[in-house]
Amino acid sequence: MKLKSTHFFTLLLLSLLAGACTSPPNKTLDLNLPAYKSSQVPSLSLAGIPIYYPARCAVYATDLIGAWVSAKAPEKEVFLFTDINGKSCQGTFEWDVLPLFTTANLWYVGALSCRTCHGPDVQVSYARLDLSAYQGILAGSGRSSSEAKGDDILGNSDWEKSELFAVLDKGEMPPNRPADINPRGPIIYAGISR
Amino acid sequence: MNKGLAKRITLTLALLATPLILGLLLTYQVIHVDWISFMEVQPSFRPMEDPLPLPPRSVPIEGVAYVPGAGSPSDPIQPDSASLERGKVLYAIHCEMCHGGKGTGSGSIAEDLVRQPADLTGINVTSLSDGEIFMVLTNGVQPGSGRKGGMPSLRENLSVGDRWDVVNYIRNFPKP
Repeated sequence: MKLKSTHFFTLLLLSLLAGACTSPPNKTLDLNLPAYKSSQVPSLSLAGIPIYYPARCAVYATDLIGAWVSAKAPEKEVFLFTDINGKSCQGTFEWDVLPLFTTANLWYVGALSCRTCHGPDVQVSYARLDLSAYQGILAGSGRSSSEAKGDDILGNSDWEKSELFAVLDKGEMPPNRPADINPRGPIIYAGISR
Repeated sequence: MNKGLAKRITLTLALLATPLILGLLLTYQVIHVDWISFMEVQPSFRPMEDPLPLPPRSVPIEGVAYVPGAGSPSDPIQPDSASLERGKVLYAIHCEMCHGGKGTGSGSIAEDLVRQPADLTGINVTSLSDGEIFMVLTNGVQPGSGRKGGMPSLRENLSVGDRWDVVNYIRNFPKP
């Protein structure tokens, strides 16, 4: 039998294939982690999707806060505002203004709520400011304790001179707001028509 | 046996065995060769780099994490023992080094951070809704330019279900 070069290369190829088909050594890392199976999210939750009621008013978020501030920031009493269609409307702090500070994913897609950083414990809150409740908003920023008052952020009821208006209008807050978002904030459904 | 034939058979076997042995040596990395890694030559991103943008109109396999403009999402996963156990494991991996095992913000690297990590048992966190905590896990806390502190987004580390498990665990920290 004469060994030709073609035979040699065929044998070489077969040998390499045989070697390559052999399973390589198992090199998995033993991290000693407990067994874990990911949660299955059952379905998309639609509970948070706002429902449109014809009696409700459409208004820019900052305009709504501005109307509340200009009305001397009432806690319980209704305040008046005009919606984007010129309709005369009324709202309350608890139902219409407070959710603007306590709702995530509202000012822009994926935004945190204001109270995430400006929570009730002013010792650890950013700017020592509490935007989670009426008393905290009125007490202002830079507070030394939960009982102390700080710097007024409502401009003494002059909305366009207030610190709150300034940070919202300049786009500083909520932080990382995309540049193409309207500085007046999102249009929301709030209050009721009069 | 013919002496010549035996010689040829021996030679053939030797030629057969040599590349086989060579192949095995390479396969088991007894002889280590740095082959071209195609994972490295393709477009990729390095650790801590922003993720590549998703293709247009792509849909997450788990469904959307939250609906744009719909406010804080609500928790779709019951805080049962299985969810809490998963949350505990994930918390230990992704959160504990900053927030500590008891959630008080005293993790092993907390002192090295410019701002004390949040006390997850304090009123600033316990007063948040489940959805608000979920949004923090999803998008992190970025306080804006010139402000110290913050938290990285964990959306690349934790799937949507994982994040809700961590939310459930944070909501139900073991009492000391």
